[in-house]
Amino acid sequence: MDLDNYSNIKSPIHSWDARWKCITFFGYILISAFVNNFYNLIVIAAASTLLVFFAGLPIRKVLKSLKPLFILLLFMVPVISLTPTGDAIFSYGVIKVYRDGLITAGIISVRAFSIVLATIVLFGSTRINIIIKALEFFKIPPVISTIFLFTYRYIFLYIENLNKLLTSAKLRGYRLLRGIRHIRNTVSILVSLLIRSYEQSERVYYAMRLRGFSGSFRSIGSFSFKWPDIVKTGIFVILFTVIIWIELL
Amino acid sequence: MHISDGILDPKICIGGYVLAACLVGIALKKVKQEDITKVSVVGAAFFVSSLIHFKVGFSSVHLTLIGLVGIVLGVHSSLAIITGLFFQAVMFNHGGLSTLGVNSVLFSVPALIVYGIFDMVFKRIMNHTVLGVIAGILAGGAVLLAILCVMFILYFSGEELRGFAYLFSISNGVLALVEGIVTAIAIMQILNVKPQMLQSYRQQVK
Repeated sequence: MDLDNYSNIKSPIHSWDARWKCITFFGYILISAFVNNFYNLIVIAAASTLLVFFAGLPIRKVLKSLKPLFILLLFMVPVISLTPTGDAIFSYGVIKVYRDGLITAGIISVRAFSIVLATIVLFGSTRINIIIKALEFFKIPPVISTIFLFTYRYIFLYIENLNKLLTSAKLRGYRLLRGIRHIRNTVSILVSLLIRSYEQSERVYYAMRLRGFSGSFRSIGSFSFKWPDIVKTGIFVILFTVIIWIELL
Repeated sequence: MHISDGILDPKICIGGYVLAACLVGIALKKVKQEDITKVSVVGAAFFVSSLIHFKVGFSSVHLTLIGLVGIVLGVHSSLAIITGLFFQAVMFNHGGLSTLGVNSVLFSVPALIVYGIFDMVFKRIMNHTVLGVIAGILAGGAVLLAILCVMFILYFSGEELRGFAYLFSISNGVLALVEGIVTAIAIMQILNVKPQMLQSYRQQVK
């Protein structure tokens, strides 16, 4: 939940110009999704791990962020390995582990691990408003960037209000989120929150119109591109070339 | 319900982004300045819904609210869905940035279908309970459609993923039922308290 908490650390990744960092990381994520070769899998796993260390993000926080992925892989890897395809490499009674399944599970795990780490580093090292501003530089429509900024703000308001409503309902003796039998109480709270937020959004819009809102936010901040940014982007361009070259071989 | 990073072939990921761009493009043509805050609020609700878990038997399911988003926002729903999915990917690593396009299409298309059918029904039926039940059935159907599409993509992504595709659809099947009940109750309450929230109502008033 704390996306912007680590954006003030001093590191080579944090000081990277946001525009070039975004385009490089998005490229890296797409290229990582394309990797199938064993050597390339080692390269992307090592590169993503190094990115975490260079960014200086707290390891405990990174591991916590990886928890959903670990849970998914814990469920997915055995299922894929046990799906009958090709030769069985291990069997115990009716349970058989298949080689092709195990290889596919390994490839998926390394790719997912590398992409998620890169995502954590990108959004852990740059404030979300700076990333959205950088995306505006690449001509994403201002309506989308405004919706992204508003949604980011509303998420925290929504969670805060939801927690307040859930606490007050529990204090009044309502049993919530306890299964299908209590679904009506829970939905009533969610709907009242949605209606309240919706009405609030209308008031916010009228207030913004009065202050001269014209559909997009203006900012006086500007990006600066220095020679270390060229070096960092250059290293990744070389990495991309090597990965694609190995993959084509 | 989301497809995670690393599972899909890059061609499918890129195809997903192209289709998502088309859906967002259509929504952008129709969106007005006053809709921005509404889309953002519903996008935030869509995001938060993934944090709400209902205990069903020994397991638990988390909501998606695809049907509700479709009925409330209409053609703009793809904007709220892609925004919600983006923040789910970067804040909780649910889904992923490489599969953001595919996930957006898988959620937006059922949401738009729900809106299309609900809009037709809304012009003919006035009873709030009946409308709520229809919305619930449509929302449940939308989740089933999304599950089937995910299963289809996983099934044809490789022979090794077929077992996972079956298990995914079975484990998420109960979500359609929960989602249907939640949407039915929600639409009945919205119709009673603030029908202006529904896209079909706003269009009828115009």
